[in-house]
Amino acid sequence: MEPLFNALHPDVARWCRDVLKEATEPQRAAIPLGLERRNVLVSSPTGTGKTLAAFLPVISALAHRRDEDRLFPRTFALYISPLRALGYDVEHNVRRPLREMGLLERPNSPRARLRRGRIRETHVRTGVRTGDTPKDERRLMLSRPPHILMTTPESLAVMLAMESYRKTLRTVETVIVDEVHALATNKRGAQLALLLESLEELAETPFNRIGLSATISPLDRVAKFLAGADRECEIVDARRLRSISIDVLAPFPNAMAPLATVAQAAARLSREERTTLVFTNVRSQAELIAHGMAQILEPESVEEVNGQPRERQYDSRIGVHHSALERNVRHRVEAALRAGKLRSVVCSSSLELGVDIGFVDRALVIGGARGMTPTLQRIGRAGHRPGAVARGTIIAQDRDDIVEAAATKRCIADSVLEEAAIPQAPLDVLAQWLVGSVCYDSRLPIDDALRIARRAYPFAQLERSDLVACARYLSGGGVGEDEAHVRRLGFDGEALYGLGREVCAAFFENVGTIPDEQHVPVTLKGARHAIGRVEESFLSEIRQGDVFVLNGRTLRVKELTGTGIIVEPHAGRPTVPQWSSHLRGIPTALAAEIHTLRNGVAERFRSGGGSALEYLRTRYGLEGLEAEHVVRYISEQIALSGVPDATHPVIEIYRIDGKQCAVFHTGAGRRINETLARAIATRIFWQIRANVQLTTDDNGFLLTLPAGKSMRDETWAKLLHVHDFERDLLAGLRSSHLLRNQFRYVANTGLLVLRRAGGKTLRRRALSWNSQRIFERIFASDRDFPLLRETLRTVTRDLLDAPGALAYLESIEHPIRLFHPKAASPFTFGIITSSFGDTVVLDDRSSMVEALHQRVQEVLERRAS
Amino acid sequence: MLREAAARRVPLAEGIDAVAPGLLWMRETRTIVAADAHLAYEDVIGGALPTWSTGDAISVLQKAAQEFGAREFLFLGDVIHGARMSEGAALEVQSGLERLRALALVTLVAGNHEGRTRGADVLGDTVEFAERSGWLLIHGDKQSLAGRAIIGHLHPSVRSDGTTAPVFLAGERIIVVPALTPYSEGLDVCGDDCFEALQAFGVTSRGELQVVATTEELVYPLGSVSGLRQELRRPSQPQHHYRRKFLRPDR
Repeated sequence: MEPLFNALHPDVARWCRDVLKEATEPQRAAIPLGLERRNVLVSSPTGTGKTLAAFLPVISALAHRRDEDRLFPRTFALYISPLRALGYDVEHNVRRPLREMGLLERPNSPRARLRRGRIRETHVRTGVRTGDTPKDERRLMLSRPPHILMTTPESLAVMLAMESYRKTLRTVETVIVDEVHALATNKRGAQLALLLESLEELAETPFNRIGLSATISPLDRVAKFLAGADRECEIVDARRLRSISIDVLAPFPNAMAPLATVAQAAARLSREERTTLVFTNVRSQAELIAHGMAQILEPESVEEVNGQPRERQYDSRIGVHHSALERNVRHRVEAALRAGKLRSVVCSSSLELGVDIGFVDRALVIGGARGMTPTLQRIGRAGHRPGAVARGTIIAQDRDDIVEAAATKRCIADSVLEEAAIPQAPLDVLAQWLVGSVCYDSRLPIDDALRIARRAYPFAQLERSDLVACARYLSGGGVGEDEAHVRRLGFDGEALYGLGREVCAAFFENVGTIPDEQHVPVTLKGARHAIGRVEESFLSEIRQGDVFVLNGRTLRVKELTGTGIIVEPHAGRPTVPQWSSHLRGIPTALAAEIHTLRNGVAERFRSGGGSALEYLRTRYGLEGLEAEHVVRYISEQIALSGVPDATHPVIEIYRIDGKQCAVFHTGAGRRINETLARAIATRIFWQIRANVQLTTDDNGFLLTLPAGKSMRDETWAKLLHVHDFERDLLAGLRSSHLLRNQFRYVANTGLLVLRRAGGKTLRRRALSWNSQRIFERIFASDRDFPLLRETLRTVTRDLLDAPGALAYLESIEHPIRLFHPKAASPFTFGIITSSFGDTVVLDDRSSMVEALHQRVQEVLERRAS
Repeated sequence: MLREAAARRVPLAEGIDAVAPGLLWMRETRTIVAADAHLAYEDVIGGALPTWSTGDAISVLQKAAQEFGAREFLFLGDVIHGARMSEGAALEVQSGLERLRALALVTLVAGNHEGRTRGADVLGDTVEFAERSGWLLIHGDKQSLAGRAIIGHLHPSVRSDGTTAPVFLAGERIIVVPALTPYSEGLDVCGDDCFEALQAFGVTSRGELQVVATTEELVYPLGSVSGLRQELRRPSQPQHHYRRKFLRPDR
């Protein structure tokens, strides 16, 4: 019998013994800490019982309250999740044990009716308060507050700004934050951190915080985010509960595998198992791979048609699952997988987390998962049984994939995971929090506001001057010398105070930090109707003249209107990766390991190929064909150009379509490359007075000069310097949609420009146009305006990585190696391939890479002869 | 794209000039016409921003009045962005109009943004239309086939290469004045929506409408709407397929 349960209330313990029987690892560690009301962060994969680990101590405490007749109509536990739907799910999952323990109040039982309005209660109530909760339910919630309340950060902000709710929240003893990993790294998390500190001010006694998270790193920093900058927090690290084995398979003889070969390899591997999950990085690929796999017939495969055995024409036991499919289709696939009716399911990241899919024998990851955590999550879906080894195979599509997979394996073996970056003191979130803090017409001294805000980890380094600047702007300080008439709060120099009902209404209507990810229309020039829609974030990545693919058509950007894209049909090749931001950049640690691998092999290759193979076998567990591929790949690179390392980038100059272009191999990761490319494009602009086209990927970036323009080698080599880097980056960003779009989100969150006013939502078109104008006006009149600085911070720190790029420039050693390769070097294939993105059919990409590779071999053969 | 040299002002009809940055100058009555000023815009949309639109518009008008020696300012509707604004913004609008009154007579034609009260609280008296030199000056939100009309309301603009410029439209029987407010992308004069709206004023073909674009300083005659449409639609150079072109060393 599990002794752990004895510490719980007898009713709860009985249920645990009857139903759970045995506690899981996270439960064993977290329940005692929860019972002691300590702060605890539980990090473990899905399906390890962490939700119950958080709720059992809470339920136990409520049961004791009931026994002691202290179950007042107040909220004692708050559950906060980033998703509304999750709140309802978890409520459902918590009501079941409560019911079975005999603790749950049925909403309209005679007992509930009898006790309505009385002080003491005998049963536990749960409730969900989100933006969707109907008005009458909210009202009921005030007269009979749920003892356990499920909510979202936005609804918590609203409740904390309303006196009626504040009364019911004073008694909160435990706050459970679910999906911490999805909150810690963004502004919603920063908002939640501030709100929890407001709640701390309000609560009669300090509450404990329990955070639930999927695999995330570093846990100590995330724990600080959860608990607050200076509070203790226990960490239950159950991330590596299960052992993982990863193989790498490269099903191609030369440089890249065509789609059919990848599907064949996946089909062959899946035939060895009962059930397999096949992960692709993008949705369109999932469809294509599934189609390819289903075409491959099994020789012995026989099915029954009308009672007659018949040879199977098409393997119907292969399913597809991705987020663009209708929900019921997805559910059907999940159910069929659980029931063992499907042999394989090909999915994008949609089955990475959360969804219950039963037992899977092996996970196949096509192309690699671009990071350690996603690899762990994907392969972790295999062998979903306690103690079972999760087995996975990464099917490399090209030679870059083999290198990346090997480096990922090494990082996982060394327990090196990507580091979650927590936004530092976002001022738009601070501004919104200040308004919410005085909505209930109280005075908040500025020193108190600073003290409370600094307790929240993202705001631990908040400067007083920044807080005052926000307060000044909110109280009508306006921009620069020009004052504003509309005020969000009052500020007398010492304290902030509320301005009544109307301001509160504006706050309630605009609460939250989630940028409304909109879709913008793509219209053919001269046509009236859009031919498709792309995510608005894509708009910030492209420039006029860029070519991309949508719904199978190649289109050239004719005009960017800020609210849409005007395009014309184009026969050329795409210049931008893709319109959907599915392809993530690799983490810095992985980029560094790839450097190590490449240079380790290069060094050993120079002193004889044998030791390079040995190096790959011992350090990366890479053998056979895959290892040979890597050695050949790097040897070809050495023959044509050079191998970059952390401090020695390589520049290769080519000519494409008569245009001069340069590939900068930095290997610094996508965010740093994107940052460098933008600053360097500005430097080139000042040299040649013309705009440069840029393409970035994890290994480097490609800059293409306009036709008729060219630069000398010395000029190219001198571009990578630290001097005035920030100025050049800002100049590059100044004209980009990235900065303006981000300003809109910041202005909305910081309540400068309202999304909704007087019950009406401002039209997106009007909003983005106005924000652009307002941005330009503010940029011209006050560079120190807090929300403008916040926009720049978000862009240069959260989206791009200016400090990383600067550090990179400082670390590199001059002179920089520059080559004029006789054919595209193998390290360049990746950048070209990524410039095509997923939208170009895989076969096209592979045939192009194969052709490039053939040219490399021709050059090398000619040289040898 | 520019057919003729840019100028400070360009004649649109007899005695009527287009003036940068989007004003109409009626020589006979010495009237400066400004359409769609949308004063106090930032305030009305609930932005915690300085009401730049008010100050900017007033100073533009003051400057123009001094340059031309105007006797009258005529606001062609949508003087304010909405009747609901903060007290401070209303005072700013009123004092701005007072400053103009010190220079010349101010006539306020009401538009749809003034609402049912026609902006009474903020603007005081407004009129539904005015008549100068044989032209009817109305906001343009309602259909009118009467004689010759000068209207605003449409915020006409032209878009090319990612930039937008406000434009005047001028025909035999109609003149459309661009919006003075910077906070509107406007209606593309090459698009169908603009033409459909103008059909309500008796316009039958795009060829009869001349376009004059305006910037802060200068106005640019761009020819007729139909000509402009053709020009902006010109297809770009055909491109080859990527397969033919592999990377080659730069020599």
